[in-house]
Amino acid sequence: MASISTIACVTLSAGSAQASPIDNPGLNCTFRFEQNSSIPFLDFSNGKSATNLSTVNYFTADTDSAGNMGFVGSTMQAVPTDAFIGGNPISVRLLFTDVSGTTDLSGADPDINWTMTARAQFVEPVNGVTTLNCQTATFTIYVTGNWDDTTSSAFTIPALSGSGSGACNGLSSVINTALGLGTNGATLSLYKFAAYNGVNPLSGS
Amino acid sequence: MRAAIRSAHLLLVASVITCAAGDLGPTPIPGAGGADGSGGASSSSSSSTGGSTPPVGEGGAGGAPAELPKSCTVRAGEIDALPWCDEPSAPADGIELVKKWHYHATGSDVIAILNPPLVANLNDDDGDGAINLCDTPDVLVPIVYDGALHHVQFVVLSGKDGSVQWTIDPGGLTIASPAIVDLDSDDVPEILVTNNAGHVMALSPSGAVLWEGTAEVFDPVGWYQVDPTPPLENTLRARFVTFSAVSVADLEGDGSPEILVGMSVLDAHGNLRFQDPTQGAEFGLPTHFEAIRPVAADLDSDGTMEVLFGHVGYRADGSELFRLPITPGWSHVGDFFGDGRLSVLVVSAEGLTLVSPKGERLWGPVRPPDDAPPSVPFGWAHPAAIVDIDGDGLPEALVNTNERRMVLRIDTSGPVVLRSEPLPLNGWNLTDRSGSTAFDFRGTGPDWLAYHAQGLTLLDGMGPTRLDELMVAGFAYPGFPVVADIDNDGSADVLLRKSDCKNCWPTDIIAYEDVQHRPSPARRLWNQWNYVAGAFREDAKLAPAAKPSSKTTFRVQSRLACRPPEGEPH
Repeated sequence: MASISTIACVTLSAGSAQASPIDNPGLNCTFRFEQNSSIPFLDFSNGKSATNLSTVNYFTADTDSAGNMGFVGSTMQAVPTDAFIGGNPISVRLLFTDVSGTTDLSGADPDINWTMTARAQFVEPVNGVTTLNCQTATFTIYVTGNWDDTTSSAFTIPALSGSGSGACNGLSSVINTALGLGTNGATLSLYKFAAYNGVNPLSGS
Repeated sequence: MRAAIRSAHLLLVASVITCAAGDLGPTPIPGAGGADGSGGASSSSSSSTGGSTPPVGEGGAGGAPAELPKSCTVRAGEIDALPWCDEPSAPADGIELVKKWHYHATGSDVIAILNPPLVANLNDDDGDGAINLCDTPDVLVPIVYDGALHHVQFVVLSGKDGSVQWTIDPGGLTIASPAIVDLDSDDVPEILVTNNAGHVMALSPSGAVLWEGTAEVFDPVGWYQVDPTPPLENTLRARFVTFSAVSVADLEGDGSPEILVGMSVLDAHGNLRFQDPTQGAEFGLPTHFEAIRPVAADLDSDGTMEVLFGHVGYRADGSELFRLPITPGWSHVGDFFGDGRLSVLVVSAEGLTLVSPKGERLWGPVRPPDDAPPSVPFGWAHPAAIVDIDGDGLPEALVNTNERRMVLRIDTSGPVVLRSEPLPLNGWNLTDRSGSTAFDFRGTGPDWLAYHAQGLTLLDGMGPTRLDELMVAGFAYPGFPVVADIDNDGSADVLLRKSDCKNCWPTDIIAYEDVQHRPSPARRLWNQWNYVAGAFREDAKLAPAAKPSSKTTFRVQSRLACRPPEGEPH
């Protein structure tokens, strides 16, 4: 994984002295989830959850001074859940394929309004469940509010299809049940979220 | 550290180019890190490294008068490179395990250390021109690196300090547990693995591919193909045999070993000898099951070994010996009745089943102590250990369930609970493939390394004394403990896996040692998942077949005897 400092984030014009959602806009800015938080990162509709993002997980977006975001890509790891196949934990990777919307850091609290498109990929190595053979169709997450502590609207993670990339080595129905896939009620939580232009935190005024 | 691994790999590639089969293993990479030796007693100056003079212990084995040659090799007719006896040979007075070193697999794409580490000498790190028992033992750690399970790599750690010596990544490795065996007796061990073509490969210690077999030991289409979805038939021919463990035995005692993996038996070059026709396909798509991990043993002492796949057993000629009405499980052998023949104790989801040396089911499945249904479906998915822990001359079974750790006498009519300890679960379930073992730390008989969800309780054999309580982590997944003298200091060490977050797969290896390095000479080998101490010499060669006896152990490390300067081992 490239270190964060090597991801170029070219600083654009900071604009005038008037209030600005983003003072230091740029390309390829990184939007990072909190590491090692005890707050669940992803809650499934059946009460199961995924916690412990143990390495840097982020998406990258070009960001202008108005806080508009142009999605570039994401680097997300597989995170353990408290759901199991037999005695083996199922891990989930939330792979973002698009994030659009605005980020406003001008006020006392960061304020976001994002539409995130993602697919969920699952891993359980003992049973041959992999990110390639066990992934859902894409779904949309809407999240607004203060990224220090906010939760998305409830959404539905589509059920695994049972064939092709959703076959899960024959265990798609097991995983659908274990994590309540196909049922509305999943949420994504942002906690102590942060964004950077290169090594500098994004800021607004 | 990842960069160090990659650097090590680049150097390894260079070494592979120059090393043919029979090489002396790669040169360790100076400065290649990965270990954290803090937190416990550091390796003292008495710890030997490679070919240094064996330490002078506190009166037990392991010390050596300076004028005596080092015990670097296994003598003819023996299976261990016995240390010289010091005088007087007194038992150690206790055991207190502390952390010796800690290895953490790094990288954003690390998924798990799925299998317990293996221990063997893999390189000539004392520079005496040979890989032998004077080198520092190496710890082989298989790591799965990406969510697609397409990248499995072995990291070789120094037993002395846990530093990364080199990495093994020939490409295409799978998640099966490897075995380390000197198949061709050329004094350089091979590492036997499976690859993503479903074949067995033999690797040099450096990681060079020595050969790749042609037999398919699991269906790669069933395991790897994504789109189109593989036919169910293919899936089922992979499901129960891919996450297997390689095992080696010389079935006919003809000096040409056989390789066992999944439900296949191969010759020493990876060619098929025979294979179970279904490979577990009849079990369908259960939510929970355990992969088949074979082992061989000469049950009836007729000079040929039987192959034990768990629910199925075969004779050496490939004819079926028994087939039990249970789901896949693991076989353990022991001379439970003291008649010089081995019975098979199978642990499966249904409980315990005993099979006679002739392949007849004697009893089971039963679930001691009360035959209660398991609290979780995988409640009995724990490998056992076989050892005479009460000193009565017959071996007992050390068995874990999700709630209990037990010492069982295996009687003809059923298991007898000699001791049952509730597990301090603290809200955790005992993870699959974890269990207890034993080792004679103090020279007074085996101590019980009784496994629980977060560590080990070290018990004084069958006695009431708790010698030590080892909390590995606040999280589960320590896995099965491996006991070996990994730093060649004459004092046994214990290896455990560790996860560092809730429900996470293990990504760490922790080595523990006695805080005082008290003499407890253990073998410097733990070379396959189904480890049988008497089946292999310490130099990873197959041992001559020994008659089964009540001293035959299973998944239990042996304490080394010692050799008087002019006498016989004792």
